[in-house]
Order: sequence, then structure tokens, then C-alpha cells
Amino acid sequence: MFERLTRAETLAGLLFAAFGAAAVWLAADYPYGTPTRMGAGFVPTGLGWGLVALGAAIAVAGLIARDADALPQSDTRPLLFLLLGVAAFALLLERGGLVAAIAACVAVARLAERPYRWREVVLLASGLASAGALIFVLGLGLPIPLVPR
Amino acid sequence: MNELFDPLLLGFSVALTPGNLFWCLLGALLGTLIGVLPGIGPVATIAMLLPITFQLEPVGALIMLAGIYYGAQYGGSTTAILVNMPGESSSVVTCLDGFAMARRGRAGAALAVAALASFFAGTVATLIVALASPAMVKFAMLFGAAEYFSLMAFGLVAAIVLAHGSVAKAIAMTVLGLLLGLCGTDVNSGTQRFTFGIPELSDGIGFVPLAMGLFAIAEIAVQLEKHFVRDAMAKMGTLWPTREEAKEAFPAALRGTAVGSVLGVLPGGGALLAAFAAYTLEKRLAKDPSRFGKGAVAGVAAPESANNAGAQTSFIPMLALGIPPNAVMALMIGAMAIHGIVPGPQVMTREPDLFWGLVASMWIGNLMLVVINLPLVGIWVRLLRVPYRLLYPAILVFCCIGVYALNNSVFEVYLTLGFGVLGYLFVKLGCEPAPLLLGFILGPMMEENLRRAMRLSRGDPAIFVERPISAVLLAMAVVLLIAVLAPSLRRLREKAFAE
Repeated sequence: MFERLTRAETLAGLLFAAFGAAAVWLAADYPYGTPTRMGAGFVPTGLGWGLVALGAAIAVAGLIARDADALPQSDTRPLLFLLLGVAAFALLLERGGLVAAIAACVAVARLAERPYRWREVVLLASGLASAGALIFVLGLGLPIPLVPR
Repeated sequence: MNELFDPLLLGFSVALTPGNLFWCLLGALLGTLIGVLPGIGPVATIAMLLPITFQLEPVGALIMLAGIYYGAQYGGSTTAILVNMPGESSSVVTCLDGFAMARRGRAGAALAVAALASFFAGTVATLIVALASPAMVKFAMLFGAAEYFSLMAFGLVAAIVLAHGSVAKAIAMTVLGLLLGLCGTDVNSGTQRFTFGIPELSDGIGFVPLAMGLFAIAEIAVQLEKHFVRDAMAKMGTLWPTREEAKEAFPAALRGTAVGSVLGVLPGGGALLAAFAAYTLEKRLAKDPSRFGKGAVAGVAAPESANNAGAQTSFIPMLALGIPPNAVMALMIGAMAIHGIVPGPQVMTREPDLFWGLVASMWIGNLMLVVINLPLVGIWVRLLRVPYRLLYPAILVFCCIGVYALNNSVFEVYLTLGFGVLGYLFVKLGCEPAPLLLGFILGPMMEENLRRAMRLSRGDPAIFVERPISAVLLAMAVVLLIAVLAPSLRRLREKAFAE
């Protein structure tokens, strides 16, 4: 049974149904209106129920199929470090300035792929930080702080 | 005749100013660059560069963004032919015969055929855009809310049919996209929908964070997971095709251009589908189909001309109706909106400089691309030797800056992060993100037109079938949906994608 539950098909269906249910639940608070004067909740509720039905159908089809694709083997390490890199950028940008944010983003995101050579990463980080500062702040004049205020 | 040539002359006078020529060249160069580099497509690049266009004149901005789009179609073929790796998803088909030609020592000829077929297709498609857009604008004058709704419904169905994999999942992705598009303040009542009290969401989910998360971040993660090994690079050989090769390539390029031009206009179509369809057609028509996959010249000329023609003609619905047929066009509409231009039938009459300047620049850009791709191919090949571990941090950093700079909002960077996770999940669950994106773009427009049509008809849904244009569009959508669900055609579709 567990094998059937973790199939890509089944999980995709469950994900869709969950999104649909959330939409229906949230849209219940919005005025529904009438077909002539549709309120803010009319279309989201309809779409939400549709997504629940579709998701359920996909999940059931995945459960009863004799053989279906299992969830592909995944190595989530690269994704994790990419996300941490983006998070580092977001955290540092307005507090530490663009240069620090880029350097941190590169240093962290670069962990997603081996080999990790310190000298190379430092060079890459400083190269990208200066390129980013030159193009976006000095060249295009975007209002991004370069260094901590 | 003057109806065609006078506006085109105006267009060239706009496109040939030094400034606009520069933006065109820059766009073509950047497009080729991202076309050559795997793991980053035109959607992510254009999204990244949107902040740059704040500073430009609207014409220059659109010319540059357009250059990136069709430049990517040219550049993608270079990697497909030389290292058997599609730089762009629309070049997947070119790998089959392009790399086979390269193995036989005809890499140079394959590159030349690809570039010249693309240029031919670009020229024809530019003329089609110039001719068809005014007609489309006249047609659009007949459109009311019901027609717009039905047209978009047809577009969504087309996108579902054209997506890879299961139809049910593609429909679900579209519906999810429509729902995500409704996030934000409801224009009619001012109700905050799906905003969770977050002020940044009251304007809706940004298109750029969504596209960056689903396409750039998820794509890099999947690439890194693969640890792909590149095929050895083929020797270039002479650039000139032999007489036989040219003879085989020309009719294939003609047919590819025709197929691409038609499919490009279809919502959800665009370059990828055009390339697939043109390749399949050539294989059907060939006297000896077994040659395909082993280095048939027609197998390079047809998809390459088709993807470029499709990239160009997808501008028609965007320019004439204000409806984006694909994600790149949605970004173009975003770029226009930044400059206060509302896309739609009125753009051509109110902003003829912009409209015809853009059309003329397409032809100039195609000419530039032949030069960029043939004599300078050595430079792009050298770029391929840059290891991915140096490339992807650069892509990631520029994505982050691009997302932030759009609204100076850190929140949008976090949003990108969230959609990155979702995009990764979709890849693993076998759900293609393209229909979601189209649903997201069309969601608010569809709801608005649905409400308007229903108000006009006093709540009677028959308005959608009583108005002839709307009825035809809906009938086409229904037929298409039934066709794709019918077992016999379903097998055909699966076969087409398997090829």
C-alpha cells in the first residue's frame, strides 16, 4: 500500500486536491454574489472545487493503476543549498548591503556542487559582487544599498 | 501596397537609430548567450533584465527583450549540434539530426543550415507579423467580453493539449495557475483574496518571482542533481553545405516556416511545439524516414526554421489583442506596463513608432544573429567549456538581484524561494509548469471578462454560445479537448512526444 501512496501520480493528485481545498476554504470568507453580479468568492470557489475533483481523480487513478512510475530518486542537497543561498541574499541585502549579500549567496549556494575550492569560491564571489555593484547600482542607478548604512 | 510599406518604413526609421540598433544587438547577443548556456531560458533571462528596462525608452526596451527571445532560439541550436545538449528546450529536436551530422564531420554545415533556415524563417515571419497584425486588430474590434473569455479558454485548452505528459495533470496545473493569478485585491469589490494579511500580496503574486522560482531555481537544482557529463565536442568542419544538402534543406525550411508561423500564434504554442511539429511533418513526408536521427539535413532545417518563425509570430496575439500566448509574451506585456502602455488593439494606432519599430527590429535582429552565430561561433563554443559550478552561482545571483530590483522588495525574494520549492516538487511529480504559468497570466483577465459578460447577459451563460465568434472559439476548445482525450488520438500524441 505504501508503494502505491508514494507514486508520483498519487502524490501529485493529493497536492492538487490540497491546494483546491485550501482555495475553497479561504474563499468561503469572500462574498459569493450571484451569476449576474459575481462576488470575490464566486470564481475562486468554483475553481477550488474543480481542483479538488481533478486532484482526487488523479490520486485515485495513481492508486488503482497496476504499475505506475514511482517517485524518482532525489538528492535534495543541491536544492537545499540553493535555497539557503537565496535566503542568505534576502536576509543580508537590506542589512548588510549588496556586496555582502552577493558574497554570502555565492558562498552558500556554491556548496550545492562539489568540488568546493576555497580560493575559487572567494574569486567567484568577489567577481560577482563587483559585477553586480557595477552593473546594477553604479550603471543602472538602482536604489540598492551597496554597504551597510 | 503603401499600407504595408509606409508603416514598415516608419518602423525602420525607428529601429535604425543608433540607440535602438544597440539595444537590438545587445538583446541578440544576450539571447545567443543564454541560448548557448544550458539551464537558463529566455523566461528567466527576460525576468532578470526587466529592471534594466526601467531606464530605457519603451521602444528600446521592447526591442532588446524581443532580441533575447529569438536570439535564444538561434543560440540553442549551436549547443544542440556541437555537444548534443539542447541549450534551449525548443532545440531538443535539433539534437537528433544536428549532432548526428556533426558526428559525420558536417557540424559546420549543420550550423550554417540552422542559422540560414532560421534567418529565412525570421524574415518571412516578420512579414507575417507586419501583415497579420493590422488585420487582427480590425478583427479584435469585434471582440466583447464574451469573445475575450472564449479566446482565452481556447488558449488554455491549447496549452493543455500541447503540454507533455498526462492531460489530467496539465488541466490541474492550469486550474492551479488560474487560482494563483486571482491572489491579491479583487478589482471589482476591493476584497483581499488569498493574501493572508500580507501587504506585499495585495497587488497579487508577482509574475517574476513565480517564473524565477518555477523555471530558474528548480531548473538549476535539477541540473545539479544530474551531474551530467558532456559529450565530446564535435569538430567544426567547413561551414558551407554541399549542393545536395542545400537542396534538401530549402523545402524543409519552407515547410518549417509555415508550420512554425501558424503554431506560434496559438496560445500555449510557441517555439517548442513548432519545432516538434515541423520535425514530425518532415519525417512523414520523407521518402526514406529511416535517415532521420542519423543526420538528415531536413531534420535540422525544419525544426530550426519552425522554432524561429514560431517565436516571431507569437508576437501577433500579444501586439494585436493584448493576450500573451506564452510566458515570454507575458513578460513583454509586463515591460510595456512599466512604461504605462496598455497592450491591446489600440497600441498600433496610438503608438505606431513602438509597434512598427519593434516589427522592423525583428528583421534587423535576425540579420545580426546570422553574423553572431556563423563567423563568431568559436566564441560561443569556448563559453561551453566554462564549468557549471562557476556558472550557476552567477545565474542565481542575477536572479536574486532581478527579483529584488523589480519592486525593491525582499519579500519577493522569499516568494521566489517558495516557488523554487514548488517548482522542484512539480518536476519530481512529473507536472509541467508551462500550463500553470499561462493560467496564472490569464486568470485575472478571464475572471474580469467572465464577470463583465455575465453582467451584460443578466446572469445567462448562453451569451457565450449565442455570440458567433465566441461560440466558434468555445467549440474549437471542446473539439480539441475531446480529441486529446479520445484513445486513438491520445496514442498519436504520446507517439509524437516520444519521437
